[in-house]
Amino acid sequence: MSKVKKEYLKMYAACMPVRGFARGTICDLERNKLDIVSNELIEVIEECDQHSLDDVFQAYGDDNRQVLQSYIDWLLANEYAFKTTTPERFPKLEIEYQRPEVITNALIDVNKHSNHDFSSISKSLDALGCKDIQVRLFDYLNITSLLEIVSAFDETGIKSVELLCQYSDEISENEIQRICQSFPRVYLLVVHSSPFLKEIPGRSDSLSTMGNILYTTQKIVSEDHCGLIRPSQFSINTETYLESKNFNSCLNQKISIDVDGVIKNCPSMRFGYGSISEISLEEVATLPEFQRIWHINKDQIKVCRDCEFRYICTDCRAYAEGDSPTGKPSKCNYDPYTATWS
Amino acid sequence: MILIISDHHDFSTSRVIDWLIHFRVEWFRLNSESIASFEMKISKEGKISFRVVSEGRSFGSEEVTYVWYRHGNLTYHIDPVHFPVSDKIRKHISYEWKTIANHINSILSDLPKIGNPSQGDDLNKIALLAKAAAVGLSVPETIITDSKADLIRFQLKQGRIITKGIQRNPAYTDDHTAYYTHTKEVDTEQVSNAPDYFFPSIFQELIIKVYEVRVFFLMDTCYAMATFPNSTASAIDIRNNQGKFPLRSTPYVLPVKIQNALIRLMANIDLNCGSIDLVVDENDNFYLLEVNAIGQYDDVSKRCNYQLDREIAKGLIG
Repeated sequence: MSKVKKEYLKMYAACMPVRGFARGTICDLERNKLDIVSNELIEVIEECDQHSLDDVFQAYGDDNRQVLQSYIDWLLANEYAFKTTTPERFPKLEIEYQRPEVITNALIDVNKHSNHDFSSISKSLDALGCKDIQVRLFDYLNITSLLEIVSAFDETGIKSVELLCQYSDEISENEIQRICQSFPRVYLLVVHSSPFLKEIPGRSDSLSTMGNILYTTQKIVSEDHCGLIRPSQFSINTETYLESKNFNSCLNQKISIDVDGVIKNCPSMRFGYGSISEISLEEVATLPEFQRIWHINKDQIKVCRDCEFRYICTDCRAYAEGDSPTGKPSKCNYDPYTATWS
Repeated sequence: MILIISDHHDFSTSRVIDWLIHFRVEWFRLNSESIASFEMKISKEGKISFRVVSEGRSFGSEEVTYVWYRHGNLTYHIDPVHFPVSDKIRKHISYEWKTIANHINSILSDLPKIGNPSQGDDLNKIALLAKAAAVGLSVPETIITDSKADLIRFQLKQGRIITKGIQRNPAYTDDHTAYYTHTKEVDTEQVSNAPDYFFPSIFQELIIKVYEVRVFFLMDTCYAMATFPNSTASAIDIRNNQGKFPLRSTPYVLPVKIQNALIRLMANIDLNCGSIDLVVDENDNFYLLEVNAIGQYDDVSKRCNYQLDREIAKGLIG
């Protein structure tokens, strides 16, 4: 080529710079990792996205040349960015998120007073396209009841079932393992209130590991245990990032049934849409008022909107500060203004 | 009704069906080895129609509005219990079935479709390179030879060369291990150790690439992804990240000239859907390496957020 083309520094599309109040992050959605960076570096990325390297160096001036060079070297060395003379060929990732299903995940709570008809629930969830289900048993239920619940999801399009049940001497470890073995949809079986801690890894197929077992001493006896926000729950991948950018990262396309059989966005929320004996899951799922909360994304939530972790974090609308629909999750103890965990 | 010819294990088919359900259109998934009952009629007016029963559902040819050839062939399930026949007879009846299947395909191919049953796996890779060159794409210098003397001359002329399967790369499994082969560089030592004559094999010049481009081609739209072969990190420090992570892939927009060449090429081979592999060298030349009629597109779709399952479903709705 005769004409010398200008060189640009482009980010790989999966490497997302996110500006926070006090500092920023680069979320590497392809390699599922996170780097905390200064907002100054994020500014360099933004400048480089718009202007050629020569122009950026000129704009920053001789005084900043070394710092600028060190930022660029760091981005290249970590494989977040590359140099190119044809930046127009490297678009950003499309931020759109759409799933074919009405409901993608469901949460069903059970205690000793509950009277859910799991076979009809399963049929409804299947019709809605639901793929992942979590069932939380807050009280002890015998093995027959456990099997009845799990077997309700056989012969459906449901891909994974996570079951939480209470520890009891009545159910041996062997029986717990047999549940996982005979129901291939069981992804994780958590035995809570256990006197001991134990992890039994499941079997791996090509895509994921199914049939995992976890004995935990944690007592999960009501829906109040939910809503905790911790770095261990950060999920750095394209699916979560895109969903969080567009929708609520906890409640989008979720439907729940509380211990009393009331259909809700989340069992911990006060507002219900009626009892499962009176109104179907299909009817509730398509109500505009039921879906409204799905659209509250992190950019609308107070404090979260200034947080550098906002697109990889989970959310909680049940326990929110100031009882506001857009309040910060009250069980989060990160302060993005000082960048400290308390 | 949309007819999907696929097999049991294809996950992409299930995802496209999720979208067809979302758009509320009728569909029928016809998996390989799943035709349980079959009937074909020739009417007095000379019109041919057929009816298929598979996995507890049935459809008639007159209901089909659009066809997606995803995977596999139309195969009749020869149940060893109902047809306890010898291998020789089995071979004969499978020829008989082929005649029927060919005619089903010829009825279906008059309908709007994605994919092409007659191009399937049989897309001749040698012819393809010639056709790619004819529409103005670069192709690597290529010889197919059985002679060491020819190979030495080719290597002297080209410098670095590679070899691979002519039609497809060999893959086989024994009891414990699956073996796959990929494109391999052939160095001067290997050439000098070669026997004087060998089975005809393909050799191509090695293109030093800046990046590879995988294109999922769907009805004249190119969904492209660039993959960078070597890391800038390892260029600075060889110990850095070596092999720790998968190669970087990022969405890519092909130059219009290349897009148009691909559209012409795909029209010439009568294929409206497929995966195309290109490499781009440091002089910005685009070399076509391969076209695969039945491509796995999930990786391109997810990494680039192209939502290809949905786009295929939209294509099928017309």
